[in-house]
Amino acid sequence: MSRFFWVVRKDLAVFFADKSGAVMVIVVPLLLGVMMGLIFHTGDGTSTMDVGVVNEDGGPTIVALIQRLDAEQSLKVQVLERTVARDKVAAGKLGVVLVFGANVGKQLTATAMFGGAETGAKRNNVVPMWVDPSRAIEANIVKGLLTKAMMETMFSQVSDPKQLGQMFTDLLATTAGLGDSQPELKRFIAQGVAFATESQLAAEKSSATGTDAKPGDGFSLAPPLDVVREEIVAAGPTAGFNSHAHTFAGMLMQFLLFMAISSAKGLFAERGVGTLDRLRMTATSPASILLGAAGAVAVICLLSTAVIFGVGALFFGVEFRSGILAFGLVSVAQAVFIGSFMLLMAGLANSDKQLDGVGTMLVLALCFVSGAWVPAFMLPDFIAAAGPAVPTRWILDGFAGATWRGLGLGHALQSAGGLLAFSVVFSAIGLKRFRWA
Amino acid sequence: MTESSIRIAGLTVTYGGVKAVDDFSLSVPTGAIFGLLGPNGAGKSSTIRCISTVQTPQAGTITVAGVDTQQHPNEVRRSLGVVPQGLALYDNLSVLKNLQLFGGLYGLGGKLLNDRIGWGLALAQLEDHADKRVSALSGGMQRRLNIAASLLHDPKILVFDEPTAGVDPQSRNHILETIRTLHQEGRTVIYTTHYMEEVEALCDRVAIMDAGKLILADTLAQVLTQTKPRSFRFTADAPMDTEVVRNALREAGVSVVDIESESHTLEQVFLDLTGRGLRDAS
Ligand SMILES: Nc1ncnc2c1ncn2[C@@H]1O[C@H](COP(=O)(O)OP(=O)(O)O)[C@@H](O)[C@H]1O
Ligand SMILES: [Mg+2]
Repeated sequence: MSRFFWVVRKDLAVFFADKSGAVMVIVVPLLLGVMMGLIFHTGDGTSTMDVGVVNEDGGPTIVALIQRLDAEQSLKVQVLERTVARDKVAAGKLGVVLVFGANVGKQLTATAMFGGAETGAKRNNVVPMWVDPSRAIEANIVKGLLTKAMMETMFSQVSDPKQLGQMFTDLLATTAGLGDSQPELKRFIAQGVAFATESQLAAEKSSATGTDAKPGDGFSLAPPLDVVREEIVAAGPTAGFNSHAHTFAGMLMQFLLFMAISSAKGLFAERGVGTLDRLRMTATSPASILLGAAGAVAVICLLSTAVIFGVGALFFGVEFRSGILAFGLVSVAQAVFIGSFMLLMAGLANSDKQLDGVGTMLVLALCFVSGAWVPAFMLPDFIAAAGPAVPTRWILDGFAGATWRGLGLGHALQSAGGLLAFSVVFSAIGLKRFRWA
Repeated sequence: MTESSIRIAGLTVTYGGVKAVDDFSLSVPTGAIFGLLGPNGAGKSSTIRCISTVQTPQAGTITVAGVDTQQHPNEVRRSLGVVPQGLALYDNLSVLKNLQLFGGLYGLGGKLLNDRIGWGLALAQLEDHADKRVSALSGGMQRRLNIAASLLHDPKILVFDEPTAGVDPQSRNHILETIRTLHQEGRTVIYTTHYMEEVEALCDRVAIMDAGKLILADTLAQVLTQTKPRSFRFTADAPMDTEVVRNALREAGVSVVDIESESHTLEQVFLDLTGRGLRDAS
């Protein structure tokens, strides 16, 4: 056992003898994490997208509609000239542009829902949407939000008694030519007119008594279903997603996997120089030598983890919502796993070249399928289905559970257990396959 | 010197089908200082790697102090001090850290470890460089540290694989003196080299191997008396002309092939002129 610690000590000393290398282990994942965190960071967990708007209508209805779009959390509206907007889409600088032509605002009335006052070729209700083909998803989102904003605009008109009255008056005019063929429709419209007149009187009365009557006060027409957004996080209703907690964990993991590859190269270098043989000549068992090297890797991992999440907690609002113990468990399990990954790589590869090629591929693949780059839900189904078979997924799940999700000690134990199981298998393969000469 | 410290029987080492050591047998008596001579590629290092248990031979057995290397490698490792041909040191660690590591791995600790490190530093004459990184040492200093690092556990059987490769004459001289001293203190030594003069100066027994096979093994004295000498060297008490010697020999009926009047090898002249002190100030 003491020989194991001598080897760990040696590998740490060798590692820290190279000051710049030591600094890298802390600085690089930190920079990457901060960078990614800033890129994806939005206080409430959604990202905003820019949408261009060309307003050739200019009327109050379209202006109000544009304001509604801009008020959407996920949209940021830029009002642009037609040619400028088109160029921006063509140049890839804007994903989506909505073009409101002259007089389209007139179509945005409650009456238009019933087929519109004007019909036929005269009717101008087309809103072109210019889309960068590479950003089709954004276009769908914008289209949905535009529909929502249009409905809101119309409902707001309907809930203004004056406009409501106007709508029924319009309807009366359109249905005048029908004669007596539609008695129920006429009765409905008559009731509507009475209702509108009544509420208009009520509104005038309340404004006379000094009450600040807004359109829709007292009675209102509203969308029948109201969607209220609520974020669900185990740690409680006030806890939110912290993009830094996610990106720090992802970037750290990726960096540590690469470090494991370079440590495996270190073992190869020692094999070449003959120090590995010399270690063996001291009656240090092969297992002690290899596990000692893995142990040093694990210690370095723990150090990086502590520094990076420490900075995350101090400056980027990362919280350990399952407690420090749970976080520590996941960190240790990750460290042990990275050490075993180093052994696996050293056992499976024959040369530095193979480590560079196969190892790099493997690390990138492991990071990708774990959701370190793109959220796991965006991955193809077959990759998502492979979830538990991907060790790096356990790492990110473990850290998410220990930080922003706050899933508690039990979840941390599960993640740690899964990782340790992988570590045992990886180490065993590494120890068995490593070539000493 | 009846008991054998190292006994090699039928040793065969192959690399990808090519025999580097071929049915090689040898016995090294306890207390000997044994020179294993051979040109580059003869199979010396392969043999030594097998003795030191880090390589498994394709055939044959080796016992060290009566213990089989393949059956009880750890026991063998504890009784052996092997100085590898290459510099097997941690370049970016200090001299002291290297010695601590290897001492620690040999199972030493506490005061004993410190004492042995002190001994090793003195042996390698590196007391003033303990905190220097190995990469900052001269080649000779690295060679000496390479030796000290293998001897911290005070083994009784020492194996040196070309310990003087690429060192300056001062360091070489120091290394040879060190080995002589270690032998005189009662240790058995195997010394591998392709420098004949080193074996001649140092060893009491010699084996010559070539292409993986044993050519000859005997005491140095025996090997040197196998033929009557044709070549002589004498020193006159005063400078004289070469012609005087030649004439005297001709009168004695000797047909002289060549006559050499140089009294020193270049190395001796070099050492005389530059002194025998070690040159480590780097
Ligand atoms: N690891 C190896 N792989 C392949 N061939 C080797 C290896 N080590 C040594 N050899 C070959 O084995 C022969 C003996 O080498 P070695 O034992 O190092 O001889 P020496 O120490 O006497 O110079 C040489 O021909 C060398 O090229
Ligand atoms: Mg050799």
